[in-house]
Amino acid sequence: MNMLVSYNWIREFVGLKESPEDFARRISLSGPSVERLYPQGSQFDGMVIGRIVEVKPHPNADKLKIAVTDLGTERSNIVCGGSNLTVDMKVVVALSGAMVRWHGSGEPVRLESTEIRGVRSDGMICGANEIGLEEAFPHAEREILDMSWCKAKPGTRLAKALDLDDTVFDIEVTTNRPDAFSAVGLAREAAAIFEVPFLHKEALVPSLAKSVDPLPLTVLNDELKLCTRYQAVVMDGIEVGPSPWWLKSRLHLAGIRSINNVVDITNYVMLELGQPMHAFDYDTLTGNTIRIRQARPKESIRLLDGSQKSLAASHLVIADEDKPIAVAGVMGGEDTGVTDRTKRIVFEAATFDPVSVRRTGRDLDLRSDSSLRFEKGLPEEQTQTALARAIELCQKVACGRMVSTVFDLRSTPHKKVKYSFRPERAEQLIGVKVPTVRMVKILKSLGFGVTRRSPFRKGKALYDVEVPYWRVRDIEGERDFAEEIARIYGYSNLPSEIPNGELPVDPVDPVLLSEGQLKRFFASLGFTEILNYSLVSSELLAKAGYDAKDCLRLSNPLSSDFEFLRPSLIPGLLETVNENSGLFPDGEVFEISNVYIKNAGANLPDERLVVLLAAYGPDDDGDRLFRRVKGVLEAEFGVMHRRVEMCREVSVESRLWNPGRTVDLYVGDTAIGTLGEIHPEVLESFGIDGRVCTAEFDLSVLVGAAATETRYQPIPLFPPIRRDLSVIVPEAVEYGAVETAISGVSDVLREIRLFDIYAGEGIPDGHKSFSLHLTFRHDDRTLTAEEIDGEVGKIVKLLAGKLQARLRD
Amino acid sequence: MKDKLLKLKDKITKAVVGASNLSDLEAVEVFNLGRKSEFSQAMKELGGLSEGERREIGRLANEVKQEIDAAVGRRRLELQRARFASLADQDRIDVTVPGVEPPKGHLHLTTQAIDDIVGIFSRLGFTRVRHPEVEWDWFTFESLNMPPDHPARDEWETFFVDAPSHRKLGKMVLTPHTTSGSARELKKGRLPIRMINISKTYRRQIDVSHTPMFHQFEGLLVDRGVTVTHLKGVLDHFAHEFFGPDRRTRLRPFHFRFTEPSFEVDISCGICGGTGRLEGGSKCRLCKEGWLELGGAGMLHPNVLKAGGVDPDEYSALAFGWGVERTMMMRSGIMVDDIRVLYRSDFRFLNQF
Repeated sequence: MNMLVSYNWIREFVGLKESPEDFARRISLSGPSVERLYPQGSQFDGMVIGRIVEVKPHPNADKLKIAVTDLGTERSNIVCGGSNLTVDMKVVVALSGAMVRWHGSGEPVRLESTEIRGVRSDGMICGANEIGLEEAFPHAEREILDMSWCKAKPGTRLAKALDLDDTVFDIEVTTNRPDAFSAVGLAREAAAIFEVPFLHKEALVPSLAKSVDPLPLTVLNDELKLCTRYQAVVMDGIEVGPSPWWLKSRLHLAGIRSINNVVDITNYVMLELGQPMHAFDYDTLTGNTIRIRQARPKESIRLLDGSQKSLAASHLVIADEDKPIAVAGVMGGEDTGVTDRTKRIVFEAATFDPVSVRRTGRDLDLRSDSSLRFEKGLPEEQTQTALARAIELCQKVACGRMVSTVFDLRSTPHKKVKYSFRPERAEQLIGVKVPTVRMVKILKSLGFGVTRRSPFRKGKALYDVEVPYWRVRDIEGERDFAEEIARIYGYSNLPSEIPNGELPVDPVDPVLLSEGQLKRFFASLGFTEILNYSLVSSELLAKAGYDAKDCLRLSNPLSSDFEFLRPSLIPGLLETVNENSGLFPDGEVFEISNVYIKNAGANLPDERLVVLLAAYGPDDDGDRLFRRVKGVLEAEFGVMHRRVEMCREVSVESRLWNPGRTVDLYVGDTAIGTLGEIHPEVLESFGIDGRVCTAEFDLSVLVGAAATETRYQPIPLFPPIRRDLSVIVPEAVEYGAVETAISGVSDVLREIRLFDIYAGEGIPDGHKSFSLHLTFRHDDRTLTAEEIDGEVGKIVKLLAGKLQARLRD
Repeated sequence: MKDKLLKLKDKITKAVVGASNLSDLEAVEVFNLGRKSEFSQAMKELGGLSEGERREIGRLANEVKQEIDAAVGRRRLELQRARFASLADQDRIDVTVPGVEPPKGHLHLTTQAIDDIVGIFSRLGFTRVRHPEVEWDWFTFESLNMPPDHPARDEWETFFVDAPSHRKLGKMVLTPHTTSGSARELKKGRLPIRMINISKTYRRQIDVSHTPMFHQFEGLLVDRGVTVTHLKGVLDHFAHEFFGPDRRTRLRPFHFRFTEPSFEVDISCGICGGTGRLEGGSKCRLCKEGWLELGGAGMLHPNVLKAGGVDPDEYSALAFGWGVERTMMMRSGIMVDDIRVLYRSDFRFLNQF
């Protein structure tokens, strides 16, 4: 969680001399991280405070005056048309070189000393809108900005006079440290990190003056579990109005809009101490009552942001006698908010249960600076000091008087939290020796109470460490002390070492190895890897013939596009082909990813690592696509030393596959996947013209299957002899039949290789020719031409008999 | 006889010198020095001479033979040189014709990054493992020191699976981080551990810098005496190998429920050189004051070790992990303005890598 905070504000509570840049760099290494720096005040360069000494008429213009202005070291004559110009007034003087916006409009321009209607003017007395301060200091047209409220002496740079010699930090505070999510909390961190004094003194609640007749208020807490502390006080005599500059400016720098002095006080306290507060208009509370309770059926509330919210019993509210007046810890109601007419207020400082605030905020779709803090869990001990600070500020800027005692309802009294601490354990974690005195000093500087426990345990030091109230929620034991010490000591001060322990004997999962090898193999053959989402829509599944009912569904999908876990990589593939085929009419892709097979009951799905290999192209390219995918697949099985059988699919009725162009892949008796062409009807539903041939199989089953044995074959002593053979067979005869018929016929036939399939001129209708390379070799001698002629003759005769084949001329 | 030999020498030498190419020369050799040549004939005649003459003529014949051989050798060399001298012209091809293009495949950018990451950590003895993507709440959160209703769970925008809950392990989720694999790894009960778990992970987010599915890698080292200095060592090793030796890292304190202490690992920005300012003084828009957030790391929380059945008094562990895609994008050179393009399977994108 990030906050904007001014460096000057932090420095109010800690003796720091570092430049903003040095502060940001160093604190980020040991504590909250400064993500951005925004230097302030540079827009006021060349502007100083002046005091009007004398106002003289302008000789040539009725509406202009000559203001003799004290600039500290000198007096200048400045021509000015301000209608409110008076002697002794403090004003902003822009000297030559300053950037001003003429009459508050247009781009800023560089001011130069000039003559106005014949009188020389050494600068310009500015209106608020001319220097970008109109929001903080609204005033009438032609008026100049009256700075008489400001204590700065004439000649003081305006940026300094406005306390804007400052840098705003955008700081990230981790969610376990809401205590550091405030100016005081950051100052405490800085004090420990920079080893400088922490200057903050907690405000104290004043006692109620005897002379005061207390205003009645009843505070009831029905929900002590969800509201573990509730403090409230009534203030009278309130004068609601704009806040003074310092208050406005601090809020502005923190990115919070100034509303009025009372609301601004509550925000100021929140930013300074980290404790959200609220102010109710006392006179709007029915029955002078504040009650912390669950919302009742059908209750609703109009909130300060203008929204109307219906409430449920799970929502904790602050109510008066008959209606909710705030959603606890989230936002106050509009009807009981502070307005211009408000005279008496109730300040609230409370502790709400983080889970309850979080759920309520989520239910009502509301987030606020207040709920952001409560969600992280705030300490009960913090409300008192926040309330005291609010009372103090209210007296100072809104004329408030305390007219009630402080109501204080809490579930349990404060309990001190202590853990024991062994310095040697911290050392073991950090990895370097840190002197115990240093450790103790670090803990103390963060507000921990450290006492040495005796007797000593085996000569090793043992300490009791008491956790300060603002850290009770994040410190859970001894290990946290080690972390505090390590970070303040500085991780950058630790050496960087390669771990020297024993290496585990842990062979890589062979499936992971194969996955990597196959990816490189496919890519080297020209295939492009795709990675599609594991999450798909029911439409996509349906188009590919899958029933979404069989697939794992998310109960909170982002959208219907990402609703189901895919049972196959093919639907995604078809989408990819469809989206790319316009620009790329053919292509070769692969994906190796998990698919998810639903199991019944409370069982995780099977996650199967699946290989998808695909080639697509125009309609007349079908044979090539099939042989391409099949060829790569066969090569892959070869590389992996696995024997995979391909059987023409007959058993399974599937809408997905083209039945004439599909085979199942088997390792032994186990089906591992399918190679084939996608059914034209499915392609049509995806809008794909042409053909898509693909193979999808389960990689882990394949890897798990026994590898074919690799055995050394002695290099043959006698040469092989090759013969080419072309046979004409009826169209219906498949190549597999030819190969099956031939193999085993001849003892010396070592290899059969198809190199051409041809139909057309020279081949009778209804026939085709297969051209084969046949390789013969004898182990013990060189074969003679006559012997080979004999073998070929046998083959031809056999093919003629079995497959009505004849030799092609 | 003597004259005859000298004449032969002149004649043959002339023929040798006159040979215009290597095959010519060979023909000259065969014709003049072969078995049926005049020279061989003359040598045969030597037998019929008196011993004195034979010795004198014999020596002469030898000299003649040697001179002829030498002439043949010289001529052969000359001819060979001449042949290769014109090779540049005779054997010239058009070398500007483009090469025959091999088929060009592409590995997905994410795969390339994963390969790099695995390689870098394997040198430190980390072995790659993979754990379920669809996982139980217990491994995802509870065993990682995040009991139900803990606000820290909100940081992971988790997808839930529409399936019955497990009696002990809770709801079924799509794991939002690879840390769930660490819980499973500890459960295996084999120590020490050096593992790198890389897997798809899922969060309910989609915009220019988030995809609902992405990849994370998670390193876990469990051993006796593992300290923060070792964590620094491992992270530095990775940063230098993956991003380059000139990049610097820093550990910033952070907060995760499953590590204590926890860190955010930053790496110096490659665009502005870690200064936060570009040449000319303007602010670097890529980084935060010179640093880029790489990801989270820390020393495993004793509660997490306990949940995995490992004794935290005897063993300690370092862990780190973050998004593969983000890490890849941060390596200078590949600037993708919309991360969703990674999983859109647009060939115009995929073919670039």
